Amino acid sequence: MKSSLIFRIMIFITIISVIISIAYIIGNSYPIEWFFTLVMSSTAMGSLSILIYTRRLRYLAASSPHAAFLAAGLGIVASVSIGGSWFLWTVVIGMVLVYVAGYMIYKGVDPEDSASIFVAFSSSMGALVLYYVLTRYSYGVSIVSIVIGDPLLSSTEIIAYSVVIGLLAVIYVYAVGREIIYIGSDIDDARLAGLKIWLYDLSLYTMIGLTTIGLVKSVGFVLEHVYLLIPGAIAAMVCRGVARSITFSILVSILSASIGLLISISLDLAPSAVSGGILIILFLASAIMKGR
Amino acid sequence: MVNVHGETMHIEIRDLTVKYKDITALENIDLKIEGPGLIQVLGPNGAGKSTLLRSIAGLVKPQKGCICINGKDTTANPRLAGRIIGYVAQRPEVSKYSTITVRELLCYSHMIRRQKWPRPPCREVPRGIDAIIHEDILDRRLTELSGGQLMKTYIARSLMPGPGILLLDEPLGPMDPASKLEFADIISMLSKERLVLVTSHDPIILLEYTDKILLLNKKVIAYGSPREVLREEVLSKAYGRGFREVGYHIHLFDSHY
Ligand SMILES: Nc1ncnc2c1ncn2[C@@H]1O[C@H](COP(=O)(O)OP(=O)(O)O)[C@@H](O)[C@H]1O
Ligand SMILES: [Mg+2]
Repeated sequence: MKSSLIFRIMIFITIISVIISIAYIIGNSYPIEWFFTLVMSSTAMGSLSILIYTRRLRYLAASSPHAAFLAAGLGIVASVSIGGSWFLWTVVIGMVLVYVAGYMIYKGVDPEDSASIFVAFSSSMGALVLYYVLTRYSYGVSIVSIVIGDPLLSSTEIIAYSVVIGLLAVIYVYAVGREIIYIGSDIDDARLAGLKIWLYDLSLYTMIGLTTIGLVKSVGFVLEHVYLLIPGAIAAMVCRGVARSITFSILVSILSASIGLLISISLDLAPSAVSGGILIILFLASAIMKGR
Repeated sequence: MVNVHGETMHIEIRDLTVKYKDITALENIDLKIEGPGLIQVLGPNGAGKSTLLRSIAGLVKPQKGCICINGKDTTANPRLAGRIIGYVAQRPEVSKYSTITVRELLCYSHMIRRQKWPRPPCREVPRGIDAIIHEDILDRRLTELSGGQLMKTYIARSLMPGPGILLLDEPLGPMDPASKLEFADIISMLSKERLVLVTSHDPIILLEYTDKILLLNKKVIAYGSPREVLREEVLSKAYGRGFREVGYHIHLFDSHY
């Protein structure tokens, strides 16, 4: 099939599924916030996805949810023992961790090596901290959502954050996505053209961090990997052209989240898991289509 | 020297030494190169050819020495060098995840050189590249191109700074024999109004267009006209016993004259 046809079909299906999903939620008097939390979280990650692939930051992107996991645990400890909002603590601690990982890559440590060390460190420390929290504080429900996510239980703070970060990510990719993809495609020419590569990289690390860490409770750190990596992989298989692949990967995210929410509400399943499952089905479908 | 656009093109390298940790790639290079014209950079593997081109482009930070382009110190300053220099790396890498098309690569290279922000969208392919790449590959992804097509795409891309200096690192590497000849014509056309430095392992294909040859082996072994450099006693200084390979071609070369 021609890629421009697939692209048009995709736009059409996405619009339809958004309409059906919203109609179902309103029709059955479920809170519409559910839709915004899940769809905007998914969109935030999906729009960064294609940049992550072309800038070869897959390893950083895969490490970032682990940073979120550790930060979320430390965030509980900090907010209980020092005071202040859990959310704010988590974002601040998580961003520090992501910048450390980014700095390692920037300093020329092999991204695979730095990711291995980083993932090992943040996973074991994260488990240590959460075990501590579980056995000492009564914080059970939140810890489950940090791992597997629960967009339907989100606080107003997190709902607002999802919407803002989703919009911000979309604006971000359309504003500087071309530059970042060019850096990923031809870094020498980008340097000759005078682009400040460190600045673009820093902005991308920041966006990856803000998304994965801020959304850890609604999406869950396990599924963040899927949301962050699959849309770009699908777009990279199906699309010809940067401009198209950016839009395509956003469409994939919106589509999977809105269908996922619809199915999970009607069957009472975990919403972010069902959306993740749909992403994987779309991925396999594109792989089969491309293989032919 | 000045080309038809009234642009000078002049590279001056003073006492340049480049090291990668404990490996010395270039040692005390002193060189003045003037254009327009075609300069071939020859030397065995590991002679520092790529390092020299990258240093001229400002992409490598030398331990010692400096590089001036058109009188401006551009040492380790790609931003400044990039106003005049177009560069194509040896075996440019394309990630299999890259969706960028030929058209986009050319457009974006043009676009990112504009200082105004936000940068405007670019729909038109910049002019003057139709002699190098066919229109029918413009909408292909780089991942869908053959080695030769990819190299031509990158060369077209390297023309974006405008006429000036072109640095092409082993552009003939991925090409089949027919493309090599076609390619020689392109290079000769480009070197009429530009200073073009080409590294290569086979000096013959471009020989009739070559103004000077730089023979390199960490140091400058020789710099002069093909006739001066492509001689057994000169080549053996750079290639050692390996010069026979090149020596065979000299024979061909002599018979042209
Ligand atoms: N990025 C690098 N890191 C370490 N050593 C390098 C690097 N690039 C080149 N070298 C070394 O510097 C020397 C010159 O390399 P290069 O300039 O690529 O030579 P050539 O292009 O003539 O084959 C070689 O010994 C090579 O191994
Ligand atoms: Mg080389």
